[in-house]
Amino acid sequence: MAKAGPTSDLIFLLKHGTTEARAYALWSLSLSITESNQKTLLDEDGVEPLVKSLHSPVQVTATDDH
Amino acid sequence: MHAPHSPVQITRQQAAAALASLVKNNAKAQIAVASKGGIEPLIKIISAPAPSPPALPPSAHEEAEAQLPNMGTPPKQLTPTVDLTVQLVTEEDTMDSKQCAAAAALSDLCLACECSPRRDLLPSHRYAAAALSDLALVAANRDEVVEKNGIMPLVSLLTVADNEGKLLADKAKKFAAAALARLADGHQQTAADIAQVPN
Repeated sequence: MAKAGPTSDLIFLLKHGTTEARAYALWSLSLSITESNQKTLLDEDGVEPLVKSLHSPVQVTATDDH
Repeated sequence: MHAPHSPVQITRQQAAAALASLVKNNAKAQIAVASKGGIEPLIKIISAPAPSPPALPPSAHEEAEAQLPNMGTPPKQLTPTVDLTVQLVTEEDTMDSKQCAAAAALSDLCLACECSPRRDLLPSHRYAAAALSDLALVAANRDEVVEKNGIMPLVSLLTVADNEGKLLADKAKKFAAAALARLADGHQQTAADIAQVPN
């Protein structure tokens, strides 16, 4: 992961990754947001892709694993 | 429990969970999520019914009926129990005593009702209710939740079924009650609207 830390990298993936990468980034963020990285998420505009995921969900299927 | 949830449901659940964690104890995030249009889809999530389990084929129905003993007249349906009062006072709650009292009153209201059959729960309902309960700490967000018809689905979560497990159902009920308490606190009309939602 880059210098900015895993939260930044996950946000980047959620915004710009492939369908599969976005799905895993979302999964990872759903399990890892705490008070310690809330600020990073806000500073790096992570709110919008999360809200978009409520509307237009990305999907991972079994075949996406390979 | 029902069949495994669809990928769409899982993605919504994860997005709602992430947003719930983001807005917890963070006023800036509560404002940011609302400004990005997060309230309406969260209300849609708690409004969405859980999909029905697949129907049994006719032959399976007949087999099941043949195996049932003669039980006579079925008993009157029991009133669903809502046990929120204790759970409302947990370490993760940020409600003050007034809001706790309001939430407990809502719980009592439910207990007193002859509720209709309870709706099934999805995990996404619990996370969306959690997010909404924290978003409702901001006055402008409270207005939006009411305007976007968030009261009725929140009330319906108070008596949600335990199909996904008691812990998940209890948490969904707690967050729904917290959200309703925050919406009603200091707003007589909203409190009246909540009380009038049919069960």
